[in-house]
Order: sequence, then C-alpha cells, then structure tokens
Amino acid sequence: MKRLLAGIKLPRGLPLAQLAVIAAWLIVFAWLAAAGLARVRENRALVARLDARLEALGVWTAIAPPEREGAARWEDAVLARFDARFPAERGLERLFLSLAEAARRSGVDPIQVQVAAEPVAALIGRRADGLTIEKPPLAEELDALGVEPPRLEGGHLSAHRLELRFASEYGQLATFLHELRRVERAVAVRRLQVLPGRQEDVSVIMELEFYVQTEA
Amino acid sequence: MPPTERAAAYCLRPREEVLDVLKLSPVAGDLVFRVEWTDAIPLDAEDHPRLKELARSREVTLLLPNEKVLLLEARLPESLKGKELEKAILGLAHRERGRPAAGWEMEWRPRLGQPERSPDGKREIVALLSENDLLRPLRERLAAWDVEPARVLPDALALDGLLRRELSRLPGVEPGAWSVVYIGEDERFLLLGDENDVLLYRRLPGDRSGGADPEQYQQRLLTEIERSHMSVRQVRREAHVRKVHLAGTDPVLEKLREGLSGRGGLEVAAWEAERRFTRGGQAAPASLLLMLAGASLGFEARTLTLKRPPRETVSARTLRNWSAAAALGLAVAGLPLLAGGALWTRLVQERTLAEQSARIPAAAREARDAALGYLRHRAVLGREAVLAAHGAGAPDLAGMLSDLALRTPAGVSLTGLGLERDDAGRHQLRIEGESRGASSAAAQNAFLRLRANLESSRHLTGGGEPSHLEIRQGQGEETGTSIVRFRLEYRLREEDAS
Repeated sequence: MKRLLAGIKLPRGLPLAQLAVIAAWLIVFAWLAAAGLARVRENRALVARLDARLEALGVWTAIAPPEREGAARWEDAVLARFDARFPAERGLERLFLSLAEAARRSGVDPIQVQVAAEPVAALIGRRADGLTIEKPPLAEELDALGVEPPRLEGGHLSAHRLELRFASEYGQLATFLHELRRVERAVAVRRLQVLPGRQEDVSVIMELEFYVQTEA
Repeated sequence: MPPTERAAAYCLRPREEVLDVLKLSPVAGDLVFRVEWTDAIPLDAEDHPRLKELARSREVTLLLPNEKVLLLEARLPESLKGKELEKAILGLAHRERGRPAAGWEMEWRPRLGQPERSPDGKREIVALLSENDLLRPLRERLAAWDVEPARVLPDALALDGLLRRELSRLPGVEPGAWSVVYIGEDERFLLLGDENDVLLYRRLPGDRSGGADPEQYQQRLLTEIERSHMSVRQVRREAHVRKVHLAGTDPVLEKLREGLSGRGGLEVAAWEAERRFTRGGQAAPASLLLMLAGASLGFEARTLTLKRPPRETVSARTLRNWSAAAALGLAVAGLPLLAGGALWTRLVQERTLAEQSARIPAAAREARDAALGYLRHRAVLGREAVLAAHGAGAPDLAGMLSDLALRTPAGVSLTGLGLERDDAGRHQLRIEGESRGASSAAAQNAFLRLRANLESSRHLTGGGEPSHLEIRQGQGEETGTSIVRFRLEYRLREEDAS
C-alpha cells in the first residue's frame, strides 16, 4: 500500500488546492458512507426484530375464532349454564328446595337432609380438566405478548357434601335418582346405601356431592 | 508558449558511472528559477535518499549525450502515415548512421511553422532517434528505482528549449535563424534553429593541442561554425543565421565572439542563461547550464521527446500508477455512490421502520384481543366439558336400579345395596341378597340365574367371585327351605359413568 501510494503521481496541472479538495471529498464521503452503512446495519437488525414481532402478533389473529359473533353467543350460553350448575355460592336454600321437590315428585317425601360443614375436597381429576386457564397452551407466547389470562370466575370448583335419609319403595328410589338428574344444580351421588325397611319399604342413606365455584 | 504551473522539475544526466540530478523550482515570473539541490546517484545504487522524491515527480527530464541521439530532418510524402512513415524515418536513420535502426526509440513530428499544405505534396518531418545501447539500460535502471522520465532528449534540444523560452519572452526579437555555440567541460556542440523549429545540432571539435595552440583551435571552431551555417543555408535558403549565442564555460568562447563578430553581418552575444538560475542565493554556475535547461523543460507544456518503443511491456510502475489512478478514481466516484446508496437504503429502512412502528400498536391490540378471545374460548370449552360430565354423562343410577330389579329372578331377594364413588369418579356397587329354594340346588340355581342376568347388564361390569357366599337351611317358618346368602361387587360401566 505504501508503495502504491508512493507510486501515485498527480496529473499535470493539479495544484495542492485541488488535491486538498479531492482529499476533503474523499474524507467527507468516506465518513458519510461509513456512518450510513453503520446505521443501515443497525436498522436492518431493528427491521428484522419488528418483522418477527409483527409475525408473532399475526399468529394470534390467525388462530382467533373466525366467527366472533356466533362464538360469543355460544360462550354466553355455556357460561350461563355453568353458573347455574356450579354457582359461586352454596345456595343451600334453593338446593334443599330442589331436593325436596324431587322427593315430592318421587314419592319419597319426607326426607332428612344434613350438610357437612366444610367442603370435603376440591374437584380434582379428569372432570376438572380445562376449567383452569392459568397455564394455557402457548403460555410463552402469551408472556411475550404481555397478555394476562382472562379472569373467568369458576376457575376451580370445591365439592360439598350432604346426606339424605329416607324410606321409600324400591321403585320410588329409582324415580328419585332420576329426578336428581333434573335438578338445576349439579348433584352427584357419592354414596348410596339401600337396606330393607319395614314391610315393602327400603331404607336409604344417600351421600350427595354438590359444587361451588371458588378461587384458586 | 506559457509555462505550466509546476512546483518543481528535475533533470537527470548520465555521467560515467553516475547519474547527475538537479532539482529546480520557479522563483518569480517564468524565467527565474532556483536550484534546490544537485546530487549524483551511482547507477548501481539500490537505494538513494533522492529516489523517493524523483519517483513521485512527473516532471523528470532525462538528457542524453548528443551523439547518442540522431536528429533527422526530412521531406516526406504527406501520404505516408503511421507505421509506413516510421519505417521511412528508420530507413533514413539507417542511411545516416550506416546501420539498421530497428529497435531504436523514436519520436517525430511535422516541422513547426510550415504551411498546412505544400504544393509538392510533401511535408517536413523532424525526428529524434536514439540507439538503445545507452538508453535501454538507463530506462531499466530508472524503472527499478520507480522513476519514469517525462521526456528524454539530447543536450542540444534542452538548450534549444531554454533559448526559445527566453526569446519568446523578449520583445523586439527579429525573426530568422540563429545558432548556439556551446562549449563546456563535457559537451561541445553547435545548435541551429529558427523561430519555428530546430534545424540541426552538430558536435564541435575539441582542442587537439590540449591548450598548447589556442589560435588553431579557435580557427577550427570558426571554420566548423561557418561551414554549418552554410550547409543549412544550402538546404534551406531562408535559414540565414543572423545571431550567434555563445554559451558554456570554455575560455575559447571569448575568442570566438571576437572572431565571429562582423562576419557576414553576424550578431554575436554571450548567452549567460545560467544567470536566470540561482543556487544558494548566487547565480548558478555555467557548468550546470545543460541540466538547468533540461530541468526547465519541466515547466514547458510540450517538447519533442523520445518515447518508449511500443513493443516494450508496460512497466510495473506504470501498472501501479494506473492501478493507483484507477483506485483513486474508483474512490472519488465510488464513495459518493456508496454514501448515496447507504443514505437511500437508510431512508427506505427508516420508512419501513416507521410503518412497522405504526403497525405494531394496532397489531398488538388485535393480537391481545385475539389471545384473550382464544383463552376465553378454551376456558368455556373446559366448562362445557364439565357440564357434559355432570349432565347427560352422569351415571344413570335410576336406570341401573330398575335394570337390577328386572334382572332379579324369582326366589332371589336383595337385602342391601351399596354404591360408592371414589375420588377418581369410579362407582363401586355392592349387592347383598338371598335366594331360596326347596333344595339347595334350587336356591343355588336361582342365585346363578341372578349372576347370569347381571353379567349381561349394560350398566355393570367387573363382576368377579362373590365376596360372600353361603348356603344354609331355613329355620322356623323356613324349615325345609334352602337359603343361599351372597354378596356381589360390580363397577358401573365407564361409559355410563362418564
């Protein structure tokens, strides 16, 4: 390089002033080019980052339910049914009334009903899957998006128990069990004990489980 | 012709085993110069402090001894051009020197001042030719030093150039031919020219007596000068020499001035051109006149010079110069393009960034809404699954009890039923009962019919061995009756329970 530069001879008639102009020209444009290229390199990374961000955001739009209006109606209906079957409060008065009406319709009236004081256990297992949305799929993407999962009530269900005692005919017992399925609240038979009663009757002890929405 | 504006010019002149070098700078006007330095570089030197400076300069004049360069004047047909013309000139040189001129360096030009068209279809050519015995080794040596002379010419033509420069700047100079008699320590020659161009140069004889007979030497010089004037006149009638310029260092010049004055109307003058050059504040010595004249040609726009034969390869130095010039040109032209390209790319990128930045909030809002919708959808799906499990999917216990009653054959009575659901949602059914018969076999058969009936129930599964089984005879009112007591355990079918 040194030899190369040493070999440069200025053209005839090129005074020092013009050489200085050329040198200034080169310096200015070299600086402009270097600064411009550095900025271009920075911008390229920024554009790529924003592109990736837009693409990630676009994924969500793509997987959104296509018919928002229809989906909203369906969701409202499901949530209303869910709140009715699994209310946020124990609602013992209404539950007892429902059980008494079922007993009356079945002919097993009178019945004895006793409620356990505390919820016995949270509803755990297969039946509860999908209730919670605390750890949904695509959790990392949600974090990247800065989206908090929506707080839907009833993320968890606690199970409460009550015990029924009554005497009835065998057929009336079957009818009562059938009527239980028509009760608005979700009520499950956890334990059933049928023993011979007086004459043609059977004596029944039944443990029922009902559910209340709770926070986690 | 006005001088070009140069900061410095150099002259090289071979002398025995060294190369004399002189650097000249203009001082004032275009006739006064300053000798910056003189030096002598051994021809076999690999390096020298002056070489770098010489290599950088474009204004280097290489002077050759007159006898190494042939000046030819000829009238040649105008139709001769290019290679044919050169061939004709080489033929003339061959005739002049008596040996082939192939391989010589040559330059030619039409004689200056002649009319555009001549009646006889010929034009006058002035040509310089040099044998390569001196010039080629010199060029190679200079190339090794990265020095490339801008002009190569004989001593006489350097003096011719200097004289023309002076005459062109002096008022009242009459047109006509003139001659220069130069007698120095290492060169003696007579140069003839007119206002247009050089006419001839000729070597002058030396003092054979070694200073013992100056009169004779003077006479010999006078004779030679007059003979030259007349020979030129014979060829060119208008070339009547009116003035003789005497230059050099030899004392015989004074005698010549006396001898030539008045002869044939000649005007004779001492030409002390070296006085226009200063060296260390003093006038430059006359011994440097030839080199001063050679260097001063660097301030002329154009002079006749020998050029490199075309068959010679381009030197590495030339290539480097071209490369350097190309690189410089590329840089001068390419850098603005590069800067412009970078600026344009940057503008496009910044526009894209602005568009992206503007899209991001809306896209984030849409994505957040979509994500919330998605999560809500999933949560609702989960609730729907729970509703299904506690609705139509719940175990049909009423159906199971009815089915059990229907499948209980005559002779079998159920004494107890127990149903229990574990935490996993599985329902276990325990059935206790008795079967009666007139015989043990009849009672057992009734029990077995119950077993068979239950096995085919769509509500039950998993029936194994009875957890309790006994046969006993009735007592009291049931004397003579066989009784089978049993306890069976089943699981409600999964599809029924889910």
